[in-house]
Amino acid sequence: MPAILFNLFGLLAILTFGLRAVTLAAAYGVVPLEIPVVQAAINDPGLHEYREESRISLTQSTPAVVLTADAFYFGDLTAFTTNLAGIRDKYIIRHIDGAPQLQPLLEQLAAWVRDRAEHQNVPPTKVLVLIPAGDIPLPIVTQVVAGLRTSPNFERVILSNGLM
Amino acid sequence: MAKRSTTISNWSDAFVATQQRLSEPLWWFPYPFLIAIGMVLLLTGHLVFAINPRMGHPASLINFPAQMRPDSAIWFSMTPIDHDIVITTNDRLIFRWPQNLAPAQATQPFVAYLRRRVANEIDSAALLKRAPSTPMTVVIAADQRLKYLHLRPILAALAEAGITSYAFETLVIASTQHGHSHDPSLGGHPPE
Repeated sequence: MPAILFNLFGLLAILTFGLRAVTLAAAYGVVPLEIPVVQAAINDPGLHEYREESRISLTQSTPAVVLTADAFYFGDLTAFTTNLAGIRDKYIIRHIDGAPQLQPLLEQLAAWVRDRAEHQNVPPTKVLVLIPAGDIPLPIVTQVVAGLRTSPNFERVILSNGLM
Repeated sequence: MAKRSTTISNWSDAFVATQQRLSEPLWWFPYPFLIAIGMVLLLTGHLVFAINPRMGHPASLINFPAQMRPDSAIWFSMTPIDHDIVITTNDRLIFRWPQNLAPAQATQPFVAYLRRRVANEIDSAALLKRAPSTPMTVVIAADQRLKYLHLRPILAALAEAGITSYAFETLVIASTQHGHSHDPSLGGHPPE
């Protein structure tokens, strides 16, 4: 009887493996993010004086989006760092029934970036800093990052913890 | 009638033969059992891991269409288990620290592992004389139950290990693989 039970368990294990193998999806995707680095010039006499140069830099005017459980807030990095107490340099898009309104955020961000470029002479950058609150679920963060990357204004998204 | 009696006779003969067979010891009986156990060992020890490195990882990914995975990548899953964050790498190493409090010392073994993996990837690329087309990326298969605060120690570990590119893995289901991404919970208008 024990041998029969062991056989049965072995058969079940094989069947479980087979069912698991056939039900696994074959395709996986990724939502890419980056961590910024500090530019450091290193002497390289051996390799034809090769020098690395930064393509995009984070500045005080880099757009930033704060994601909380209640709303999106956006502005530039200054608005959320040195001028955190200021009330005229931040914009809010509230969630509706707890659902983040990503499409209105993208539209308002695009209009804000365009307006800054035209009236305040702030050149548009292709990088955006996302600052989620700690209690935001990771699937929401992932989908917001993917949504922000669909905007033609932003190619790169940096999570706030990635800032060094 | 003769045919019916013949059938019953065949059945009774078969029953008697089976009864006799079961009453005698059969020395070959353990071998099917050993074959089954051997197959389980083979499948769980070699084939399962070779077929798909995600087998055995308990992370439940979100279904979301995203771009395909880059060539060069360090993969690990991240799951909450018993008030702990459990990191399982594709070479079957496990790192664990508390969900609520993750001191820097708790993540140091993970940082050392990441540094070792980066060095191995660089060595492999040098030996192959082939540079990957994309920067070395860490792919994180994060469970849906996790929150952003659980990710912070991971990001700190990546930065400490000198990794600048990472990504969240998603499950691309067949119906959305070639479609446009849209989640009703994120507002906006559905694609037309």
